[in-house]
Parts: sequence; structure tokens; C-alpha cells
Amino acid sequence: MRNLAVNVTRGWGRFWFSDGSAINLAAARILVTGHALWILLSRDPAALSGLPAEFWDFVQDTARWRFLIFEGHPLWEHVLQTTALVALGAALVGLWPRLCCLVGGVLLYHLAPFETIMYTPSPWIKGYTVTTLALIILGSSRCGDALALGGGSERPPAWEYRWPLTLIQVALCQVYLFAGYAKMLRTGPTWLLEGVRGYTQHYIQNEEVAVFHALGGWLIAHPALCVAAGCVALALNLSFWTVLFSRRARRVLVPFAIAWHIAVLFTMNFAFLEAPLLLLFVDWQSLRERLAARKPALLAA
Amino acid sequence: MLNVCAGLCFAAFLLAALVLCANERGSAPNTRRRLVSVFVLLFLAFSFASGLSQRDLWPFAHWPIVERVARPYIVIPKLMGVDSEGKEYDLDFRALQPVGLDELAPWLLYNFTRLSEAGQQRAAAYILERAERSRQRAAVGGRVGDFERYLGPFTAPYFLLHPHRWKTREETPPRPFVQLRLYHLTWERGTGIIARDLEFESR
Repeated sequence: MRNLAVNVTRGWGRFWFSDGSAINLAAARILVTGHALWILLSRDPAALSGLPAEFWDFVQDTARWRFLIFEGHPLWEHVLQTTALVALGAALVGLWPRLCCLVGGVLLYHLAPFETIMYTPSPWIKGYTVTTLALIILGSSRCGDALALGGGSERPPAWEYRWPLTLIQVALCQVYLFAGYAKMLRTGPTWLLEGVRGYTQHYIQNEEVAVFHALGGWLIAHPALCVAAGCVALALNLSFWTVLFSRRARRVLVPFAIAWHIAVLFTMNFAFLEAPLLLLFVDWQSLRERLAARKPALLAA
Repeated sequence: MLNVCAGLCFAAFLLAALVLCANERGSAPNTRRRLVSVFVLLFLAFSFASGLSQRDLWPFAHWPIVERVARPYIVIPKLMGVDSEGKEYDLDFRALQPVGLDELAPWLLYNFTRLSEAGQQRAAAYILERAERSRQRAAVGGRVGDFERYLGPFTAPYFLLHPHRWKTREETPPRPFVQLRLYHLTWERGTGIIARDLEFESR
């Protein structure tokens, strides 16, 4: 029993506290803030504060307090939205990155639910979910020690760069894990047989949704392929977490997941807005070193 | 109750992050690692509680993406704009912004029908006013919706894609909208749309 505890402690230490890279953590800061800016600049949650009272009739008071959302203050919400944009922009370039990440994360937590609150309090599908968590994590870490206009002066131990990036990667892996778990819990093995075909039929025949018809139409004409696609989707969902432990799994599954999201876009007509965050699994430090090593050779040539 | 739990989870997570920041300088390495471990454990506890229970504790999400099997029949709400000559036009989803069609559709299906008649008319007037403002802009070659104001073609799509209907001036309805109609379309699996029922029209 004591051995087990020692092994768990050692494994925990290796996983979270082995040496990390300031470049990789800084790259994560740039990716996450860039992603948050992309979503926020593509929406206008503050404007929804000014919706007529009828749209708020069925919003629960507890949901209002949960996100501190009180309708009828569009001007004030625009001030907060602008503050969020400024904070995210500053964090992107590395100006007071930790404070700005925290401010950005808290403001996204407040602003994002405006998009859905008239029907449901949770904006889980709107592209802010991993980003909001990641901004809070980045705010509590040394994310501004590299690739920043105002880089930190003293260098902490290298493990300080490892745990925050790993924790954000865990959050991203949970998307796939919980999606696969939900399919099996709510529907079970029947999902493999009918899930892909049913949703593809629904989305390509729904004139309010369908943008791409060709690939989806071809897929539903081949029921066996739909079952195979269901099996691949579930396998990807339930195995993606291995990228946390295996470099080989990372090399295979991350590009595969990107290709899968593109295929889903063209067949089922839905866009997984967190997909750009898969770049968090790239080892930017190694890439930079490899490019730097090639540069003298290129110059000599 | 779930809203309260979820709010408390986020507050605890944020508080732990602030404690971690406050104790960064001057902490012995072992103490610092212990604090980080508590923060990580808290994150894992909240996220797995949400994922495994399949209850929403956003931003600790349970990610139920297309987790069910599509039902044999689905009712889809559809809004149409009507001009002064009584001609109906499909609305471009961007014309409704800042309201997203992905939220408006279930709201129209489940909540709109529970409003009083006067409430329905007021909500419809708001939607009609947004749609007409966008139509006017698109009719002179401007952008249809508000969301494309900064990023143009690089604007993030919605989770569910929607067709751009007013792509050119010619495709944009030429006359002002004077009325809004709400239809319920019935989709049958394998067949497509099998019924189209008028549910509401604004005055």
C-alpha cells in the first residue's frame, strides 16, 4: 500500500512537475488569447443585454446571479466587453500578461453566457469554454516569461512552465473524453449504428442549417460507412487523452483530430470552435530549435 | 440548485488561482508544489464531477456533443419576413444578430409559445426591426449582420453552420418587411420536411 502511494506521488510529480519550456507556455498564452479574441470579435454578447424583456422572461434568477448578468445595461456591458478585448490584446503581446489573462478570463465568464441565457445558462458550445478555464490557469502561471514585450526578469524552476500547459491540455482532452462518455452513457452502443447517419441526415436536410450537402449526402447513401465513421469518432473520443502521455500518440491523434473536425464540418455542417486550440499540443520550443539549426545551413547554401 | 453549485465551483477555482498567484514569491519549492497540486486537484475534481455526472458546471463543461440518436421526427422553427405585397422571404440568419439562430430556434419553439399574445407581438416586433435594418443594409451592398463588423470573412462561424441567403443585392429582398411569420416545419428522418404549419404572424 505504501509502495502504491509512493508510486502515485512520483507519477504525479513526473506528470505535472517535470521540466517545461517558457516558450511553449508563452505560445499557449498567444494561442489562447488569440482564440478568445477571434471568438469575441466575431460576436457581440454585450448587445444582448438590451434584448426586450420577453426574451428574459424564462431566465432563472440563480442563472442571473451565477454569471452576474442583469439585463437592460447594454452600455455598461459594452464597457466590460471593450475591457475584455483590451485585456486579451495586451495578454497576447505580453503586456502584464498574467493580470490581463485573469481579467480576460473573468470577463469571458460573465459575457459568454449572454449568448445563450435566453434559452440555457450554459454556453458550452460557443467556443469560450476551454478558453475561459485556460485564461484563469495562465493568469496563475509564469506565462509572460517569453515571447512578451515585458518579459519577466528572474527565472523560476523549469517545472513552473510545465504544469499550466499540461492542465490546459487536460481541459482540451476532457472535451473528447466526456463527448465519448456522454454518447455511451446517454445512448449506448446504438449510437455507433445510428448516430452519424441520423445526425448527418438531419443536418443536411434541415434547410436552416445545411451549407454543405455533397459529402453528407454521399455518406448517408453508404450506411456501413456511417457505422465505421461512428466507430472512428468514438475511438477518437475515448483515446485522445493518450496524447498527454505519449509523443507518438500526439503525432498521430492531433493531426487526425484536426482532419476529423474538417470532415465533420463538410458532412454534418457543424464547426467545433475549439479546434484551433489543438495547436497547444505542438512543441514550439523544439520547432524553434530545429528552425534555428537549419538557418545557418540555409544561409551557407 | 445547479446554477448555485456551478457558480460556487467557478468562485472556488478563481480563488485558488488568486491564492496561487499571491503565494508565488517567497514560498519554498515544496510548499509551492503543494499549492499547485491543490489547484490542479480542484480543477480535476470540478471538471470530472461535471463530465462524469453529465451535469453542466460551465466553464467546467460536460460536452454532450451529438450524444443522442436523431429522433424520427423533429420540429424546426422557421422565421419568414413578409413585404408590403404579401410576398414571403427566407431570413438570412445574420439578419437576426446579435441574437444567434442556434439559441433563437429553441427559444421560439419552447419559450415563445408560452408568452402572452402581447409579449409575442413585442418579441416579434424586435426581431422584425432587426431583420429590416439588416435587409436595408444588405440591399445597398453593405454587410448583413453585426458580427462581421471587425473580422469580415474571418468571423468565427456558429457551431451549426447556416446558409448565407442574402449574399448579393439581387438575393436580398427588395421591399421592406412589414410582417413576421413563424412556421413549424416537421422533419421526418429519411424523408426530409413533411409539414409546414403557420404558428404565428405579427400584426
